[in-house]
Amino acid sequence: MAKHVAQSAKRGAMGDRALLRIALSFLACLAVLYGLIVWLGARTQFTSNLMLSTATAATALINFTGVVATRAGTVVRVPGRELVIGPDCTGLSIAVLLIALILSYPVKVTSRVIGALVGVFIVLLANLVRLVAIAHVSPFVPDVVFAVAHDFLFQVGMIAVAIGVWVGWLAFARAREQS
Amino acid sequence: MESGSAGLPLRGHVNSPRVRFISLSLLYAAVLYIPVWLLLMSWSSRWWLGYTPMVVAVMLAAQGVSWRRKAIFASVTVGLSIALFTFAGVSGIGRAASALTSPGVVVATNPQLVAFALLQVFFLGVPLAALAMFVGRRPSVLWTSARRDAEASGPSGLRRSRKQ
Repeated sequence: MAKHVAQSAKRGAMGDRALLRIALSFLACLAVLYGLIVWLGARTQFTSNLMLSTATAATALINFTGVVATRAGTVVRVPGRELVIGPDCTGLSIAVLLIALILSYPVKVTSRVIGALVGVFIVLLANLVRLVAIAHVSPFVPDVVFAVAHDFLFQVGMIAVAIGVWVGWLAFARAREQS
Repeated sequence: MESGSAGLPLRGHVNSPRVRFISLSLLYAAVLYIPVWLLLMSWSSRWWLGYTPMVVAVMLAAQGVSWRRKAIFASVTVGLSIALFTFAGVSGIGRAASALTSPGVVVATNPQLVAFALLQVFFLGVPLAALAMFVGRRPSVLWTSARRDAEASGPSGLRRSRKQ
């Protein structure tokens, strides 16, 4: 009995069925959002414009931080290497994940709106920081090290950012619900 | 001298469950990601590993959850990911999605669009859905130890904690 009470307290006021509902609504939300984004990307200039904006912002930031960078379309040239900004380099898929997670939680609408806006901003900013870091690392390391940094360290870093932002938002939303 | 080895404030900070949770998450993530990525270094689809190792790392590092619950959730997450990966390979979803992202594709077909969205949901969404269920609405379960919870709820709670 005591164990049951303690476990219920751990889960808050939510049972497993409510949690399952959150998980399923998250997956449904995610499928719709991804479908929409991929559809927009294939039928409109949405993805290419986003790639161009990312490349422009990254070039400006890289120059600002002291590395000479030039841009040709979605290709950012830094000393010794060319960074091709593809659809996966925009941070959009991670931002969509966060929006779906935030929308699927049954909390106040204002908490969700704040979470979605701030979350997307942080993820896009983190993505730009990732690109700037890649530009700083790339002139000094061999291809193998660059590949590991680009494919492994920075990808895991972005995943950690997404999970961290979500957990932080959840704590914020819960505090708002209780106040 | 400021190492905090003699009960200085720094020591409490370093040993806090939140710091412990973050450090353990990173440690487990390194342990899970690095060998898997090294094994799959020549495999271009290793990107699809996505969130699963990080989610499992966060689950294992949680401070306020029993090892039984951690093991159940981690096993289900890994099992689902492997099952979905196999399904995507066998059913041709993976091939259709790869065709969408390959160079030269100007107008995507509807099956390609559906396949790409499905793959994203499989390999990014499913692990996060499992994490959402694991955490519930109480994120502090990740960094607040069960013992501290019991202490906060008073002497009876502490007794209950000791019994468990």
